[in-house]
Amino acid sequence: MSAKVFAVSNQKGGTGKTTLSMNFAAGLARRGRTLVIDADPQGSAGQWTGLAPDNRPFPVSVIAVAGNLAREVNRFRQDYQYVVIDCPPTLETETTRLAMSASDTILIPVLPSPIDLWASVRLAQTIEQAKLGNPKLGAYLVINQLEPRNALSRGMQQALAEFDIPSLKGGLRRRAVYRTSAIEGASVFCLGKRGEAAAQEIESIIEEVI
Amino acid sequence: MSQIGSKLAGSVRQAKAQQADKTTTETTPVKPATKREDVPLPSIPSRRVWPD
Repeated sequence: MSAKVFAVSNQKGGTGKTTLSMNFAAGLARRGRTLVIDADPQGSAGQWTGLAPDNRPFPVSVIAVAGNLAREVNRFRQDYQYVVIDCPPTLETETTRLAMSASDTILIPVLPSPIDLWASVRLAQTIEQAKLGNPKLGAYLVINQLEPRNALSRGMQQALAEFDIPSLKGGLRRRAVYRTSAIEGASVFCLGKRGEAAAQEIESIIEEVI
Repeated sequence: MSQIGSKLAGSVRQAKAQQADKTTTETTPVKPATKREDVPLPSIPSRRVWPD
């Protein structure tokens, strides 16, 4: 077994990296053994699972890696089917560089706001550089907090076409249940009717990338 | 095509152009510093002091 490795990265904070990482990993765990590597020094992924009640643990193990990330990922490739790396909100760290070198696919959550779009422009260049060392690396933009009634959200697809990175057809709508899932230490898949629509969004993302 | 979509797309193009300019500036090769041995030695007039 050799795991498929996903890195969730964006240089800007607050774009939903951990929300996407955790729910995406929970969805993958329904298909095969999955691990989350919390590479963000803020440790939000670890905090998320810490809030899970004892009788309903988060369906995916989360570990923090202090040493060489690429080496650790390669070690876990044999034991898991999927590995998801929650990256720090910066491109300048060695951790982000190693995450890109060790991954098969990078998911880049972007918010429907001009400032977030402008901030993501540099990421495309970083990915191009990472591809020199890891030619099979794929990358997708994922729209987060989409509000279909909002004109700015509707204009996003047009703006994303300007990027040299393809964007997924599916995205995440702005839903309170994503925040609720964090505070309950759960994924949207465990929240029954409340999480149904969100779970479908995560499922469509998974279908597109695996 | 929505008006706001075109405006957003235009702003991304602008951000890309600015980033490209910045990268070009950053990657402009810096003229190597002149080697120490290339620098001509300063000519100091010799000064002889005779004992008398």
